[in-house]
Amino acid sequence: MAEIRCPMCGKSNPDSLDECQFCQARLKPITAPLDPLQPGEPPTKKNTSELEKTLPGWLREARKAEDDNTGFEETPAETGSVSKADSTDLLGGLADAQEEEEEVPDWLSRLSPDTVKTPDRKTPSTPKESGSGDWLSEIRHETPDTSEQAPTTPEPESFEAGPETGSIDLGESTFRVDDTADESGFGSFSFGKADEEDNQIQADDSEVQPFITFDGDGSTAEGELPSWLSNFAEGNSDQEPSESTEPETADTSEPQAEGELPNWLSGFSADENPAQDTALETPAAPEEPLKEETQKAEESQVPAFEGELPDWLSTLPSDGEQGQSFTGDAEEPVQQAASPSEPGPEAVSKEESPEWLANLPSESKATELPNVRAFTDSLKKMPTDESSPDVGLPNWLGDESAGEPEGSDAVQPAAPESEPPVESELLDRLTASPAAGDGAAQEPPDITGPPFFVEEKASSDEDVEAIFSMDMPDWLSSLGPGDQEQSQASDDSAGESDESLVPGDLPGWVKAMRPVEAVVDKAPVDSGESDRKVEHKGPLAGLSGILPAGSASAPTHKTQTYAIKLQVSDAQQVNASLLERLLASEAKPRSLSTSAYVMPQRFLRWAIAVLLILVIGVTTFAGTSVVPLPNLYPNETLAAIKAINDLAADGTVLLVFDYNPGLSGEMEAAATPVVDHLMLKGMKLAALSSVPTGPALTERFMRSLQDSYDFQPDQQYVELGYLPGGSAGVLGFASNPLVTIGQTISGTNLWASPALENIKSLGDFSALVLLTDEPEIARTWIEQAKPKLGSRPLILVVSAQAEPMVRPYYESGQVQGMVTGLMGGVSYEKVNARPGLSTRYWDAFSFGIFFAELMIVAGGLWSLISAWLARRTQPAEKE
Amino acid sequence: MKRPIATAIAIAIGLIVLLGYFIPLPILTSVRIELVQWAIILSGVAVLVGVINLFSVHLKKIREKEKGAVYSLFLIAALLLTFILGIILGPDHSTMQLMFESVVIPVEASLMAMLAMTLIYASIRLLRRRSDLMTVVFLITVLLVLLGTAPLPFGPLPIVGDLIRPFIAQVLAAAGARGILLGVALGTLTTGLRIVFGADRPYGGR
Repeated sequence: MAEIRCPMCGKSNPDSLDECQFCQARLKPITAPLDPLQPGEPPTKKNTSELEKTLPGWLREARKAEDDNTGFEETPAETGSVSKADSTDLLGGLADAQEEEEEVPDWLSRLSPDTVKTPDRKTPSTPKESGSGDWLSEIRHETPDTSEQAPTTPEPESFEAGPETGSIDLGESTFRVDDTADESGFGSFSFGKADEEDNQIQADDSEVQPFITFDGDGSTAEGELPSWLSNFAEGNSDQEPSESTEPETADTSEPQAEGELPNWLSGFSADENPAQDTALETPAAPEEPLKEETQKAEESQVPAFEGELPDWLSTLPSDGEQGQSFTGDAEEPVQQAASPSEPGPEAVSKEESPEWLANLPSESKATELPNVRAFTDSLKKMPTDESSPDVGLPNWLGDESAGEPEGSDAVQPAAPESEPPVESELLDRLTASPAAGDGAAQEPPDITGPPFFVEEKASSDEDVEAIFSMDMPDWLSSLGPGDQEQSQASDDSAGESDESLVPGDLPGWVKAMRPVEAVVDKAPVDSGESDRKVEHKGPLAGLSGILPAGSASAPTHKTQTYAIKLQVSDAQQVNASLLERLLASEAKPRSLSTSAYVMPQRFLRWAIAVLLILVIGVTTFAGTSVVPLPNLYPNETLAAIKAINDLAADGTVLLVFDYNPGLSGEMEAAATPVVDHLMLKGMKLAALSSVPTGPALTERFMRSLQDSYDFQPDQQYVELGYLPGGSAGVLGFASNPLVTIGQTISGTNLWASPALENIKSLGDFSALVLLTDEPEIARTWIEQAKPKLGSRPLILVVSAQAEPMVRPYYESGQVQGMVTGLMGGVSYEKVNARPGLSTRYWDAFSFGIFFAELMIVAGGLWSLISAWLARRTQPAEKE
Repeated sequence: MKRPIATAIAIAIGLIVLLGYFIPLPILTSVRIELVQWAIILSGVAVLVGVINLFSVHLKKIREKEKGAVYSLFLIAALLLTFILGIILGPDHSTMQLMFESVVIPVEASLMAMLAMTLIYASIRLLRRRSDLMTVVFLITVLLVLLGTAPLPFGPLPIVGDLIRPFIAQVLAAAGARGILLGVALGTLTTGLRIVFGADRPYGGR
C-alpha cells in the first residue's frame, strides 16, 4: 500500500487519506499545483468548483443553506439581501467552522472580485474621477474592473491577497494590515484566511482562502468592491434601490454600485427572509465557476446579505441609512430587512447570532474596536461622488464626524478614562443582539481586529449623533482631523523620500489596536524620566513609561561593595611580618668578601713550580748521589726478583706495556731493572699492548735497552702489536693468542718467529710481566689471563698510584711479584746490583718529595695561622 | 622491532659465553672463542669510529665557528697528518716514532707534572679554605706517606719509613682497596647478569 509522507510532521500515512492521521494536516493538495504568480500579473482564473473542498465547514453549510433557498442561486447578487435564514446559516456556518476548515462563509464568498462589482448599481463616478476621497466609491467603481479579472481563489469569490504587513488571526480568517498609508491616511487592509506560512498570502486557490482587500481609498486591491461593501455604500445613500438586490429583499435598497452595503449587512436591514440565506451560499454552489459566483454576488450584494444579517447587528441602533455602519448601521439593514419580510434579523440572531461576538468580553471588544473616530474623519475627507451623493461618508459616520468635535472634545480630554466606558457601551450594544437572539450554536470567529469596512454614504445626522452620542473610544477619539492631515502629510513626505513603505504611520484602527492606557496600568510606576517620555513611533506610540532600548543593559542596582582591607588576626599579622622580614633578608644582597689574594696565589703557584723545577732539575742533571739508597726492600719487589730468577732459561716472557705516556718516566724507571733482569736471564721477550699508545712505548723502551743488551728483533724480541677489545681482547688472547694476534700489517706471521716458537697458548709463555699505571688494566689481566697462565708467574710493574688497588691481588697470591714505582725500581736495582735509571732518579725524587713536604707543611701552618687571625678579626668587625 | 632482536642477541651471546666457562663442551668453547673474536674486531672498529666521530665533532665546531674552534683546527690538522703519514709510512716508521716521542710523550708528561704541582698547591691552601679535623688528618696522612715513600736527604726516618708508612699503605689503604674491588666485582657481576637477563639494555637506543 502506497504511503504518503505528511508535510507537517513527516510521518507516513496511507495514500488513501487526505489528512494526516497524526497532525491532521492535509496530505494532498486540493488543486493542481499552481503557477507562481508574478508581481503585477493578474491572477488566473481557476475552476472554483474544485475549490469547494477548501471551504471551511461553516461556510460550506452556509452556502448549502443558501442553495436551498430558491432564487438565490441564480442571482445571488441581485437579491442584495440576506434572508434571515441566510444569516442564520451564516452564523450557523461559523459554528461549524472548526469542523470544516475549508468552508468559506457565504458572505465572504460573495466578496470575490467577480461577484463584487458595481455595475448595475451604477457608479456615477469613480472615486478617482471625483477626486479620491470617497474610498467607498472607489471600491464601487473598481469592482467592475476586478470582476473582469478571473480570481484565482476558490469557489465563492475571488479573494486576493494584498500586501500586508501584519495579520490578525481570526481563526480561519485573518485581518491583514497593510501599513502603507494612502491619501485617506488609512492603510490597506485585507480580510481573509491565513495561509500556513505566516504573512504570506498567495494567490493560490487551492490553499488560500480568498481575501478581500481594501485599499485606502476604499477599493479592493484590484478595484473589486465587495458586495457587502457596495451594498453598504448604497444602503447609506438611502436611495437608489439596488438593482442587484434580490427581489425578496424589497427593502434592501442599499445601493451596491456605490458603496454597496454588504449583503449580510444589507440583508439585516431588508429582511430575515430565510430565502436570503441562500444569498450567503450563493457563491454557493461549490462547483460553480468562481466567476459566475462573483458576478452573482455583485449583482446581489446587498440583498444577498440582507437576509443574513445577524441578530446582533439588527439590534444595533440604526440611523436613517440602511446598514451603513459596522456598529450602528448594522442594525439598520437588519431592521429594514426584518420589517418587510420574515423576521430575518431575529431569525438570524437566533440562528446565527454570533456567539463569538457574545463571548467576546466587552472590554476586550472595547479595546479591539477600531478607532471609529479615525474612520469617520477619514471618511469625511474623502471626496464624495457627485453622482452618488450617497457615496461618501456614511451618514452615521458623517453625522458623527460632524458632531465629532463636540463629542470628541468632550471625550478626548477624558479619553483615557472614558475609553473603557465608550467601548464597553459599544460592545454592550453589540453583545446585546447576540444575547437576544442567541440561537446559534456556532462559535463565531474570534474577531480581534477592528471593523474594516466603512459605509460609503454618510449616515444621517441622527445616526451619527446616535453613534457619537456615546463615549468615543480612545482609538477613535485620538485620531482627529489633524491627525489624519498630519499622517497624510507625513505619508507624503515619506513617500517623497522613500517610495516604498512609509515608516511609522499606522492607520487609525491599527493605532487603536495598540495597547491603550485602559489596558495598561493607569497608575504607572513613576520611574522618573522614562515615564515622562512618550513614545512617538511604533506600535507603542502614544504610550509613556516605555523603557529605553538600553535600559536592560544598564545596571538597575548598585553593586555590592566589598571591603578592600584584609581582615587578619594579630597572630597572622605577626607571622606575615616575620615572613616579610625573611623574604627581605633573602633579597638583600650579602656583602661580598673581597678577594685580596689573587696575586699571592699566582705567585705561590709560580714559586712552587720554580722550586720544584730547580730542585729536581739540578739534582737530575748534576747526577748527585746524596740521598742514601733504601736498605729495606719491599717484599713484593723481592718476590718479583725471586720469580724471575726461577724462570727457565730460553723461555719467552710476555711483556705487556699498558701504561700511558704521561707516566712513562716512572714506569720506565721501574720496569728497566725487571726487563734487564729478564734479559740477563736470556729470556725472549714478546711485547703486547692493550692500549693504543702501547706499541710506541714498547718501541721506545726496547730501543733504550737495546744499546745495553743488543736485542735483535724477531730473534730475542717480538712486538705483537696492539690488542683491541679491552677485557674481551685479553680474554681472546688468553684463550687463543695465535688467533687473536695473527699477522702483522705487512702480513708477517709473528708466531713463526724464533722468539715465539713453541708458543701456542698463553700458558706456553714463561711468565707474564704486566707494566701498567692503571689498576683496572691490572685487574683485567689478572682476571682474564691468570687462569690461562696456570702456574706461570704473573709479575706486575705498577706505578705508585696503582699500588693500593693492586696489592690485594698480590696478597691473595694471584700476582707473584710486584714492583712499585721508583722505590721498587731502586730496590730491584740495588738487589741486582745493577744501578740504573731508578738510581739516577733517586736523589731528584727524594729532594722533590722533601720539598713538596716542606711546602705542604709550611703552607698548612701558614693557613692555620691566617685562619686563626681571620677568626679573631671577624668578631671585632661584627662588634 | 629493533629492540627485541637486539635484546635476544645480547642474551644469547651472554648465555653462551657464560655457559662456556661452566660447561666444558668443545662446541661451546669454540662458539665462545668465536664470539670473543668478533667482539675484538668490533672493538677495533669502534676505535676507528671514535676517531671519525672526533673528527666530525671538531669539524662541526670549526664550521660553526664556535668558541675554541682554533684548537679544533689544530686537532684536525694533526689528526689528518698523523693518519696520512701512518698510512703511508706505517706505524713502525721512525718518523711516526719521532712524532710520538716528540709530541705525545712530552705533552702528557707535562700534564702529569702540572698535576703534581697543583696537588702541592692545593695541599698548601687546604687548611686555609677548610680548617677542620678531617683536613688536618688528610694532610698528616699525606705527609706520612710522602715521608715513608722517599727518604729524607738527611736520612730516612726510622719509624715513619718502617712502621707508619707500611701500615698506612698496606693495611689501611689495602683494606679500602679490597672493599672497592669487591664492590666493583659484584657490580660487574650484577651488570652482566642484568644484561644477560635483558633487564638492562644499553644497546638499541632507549
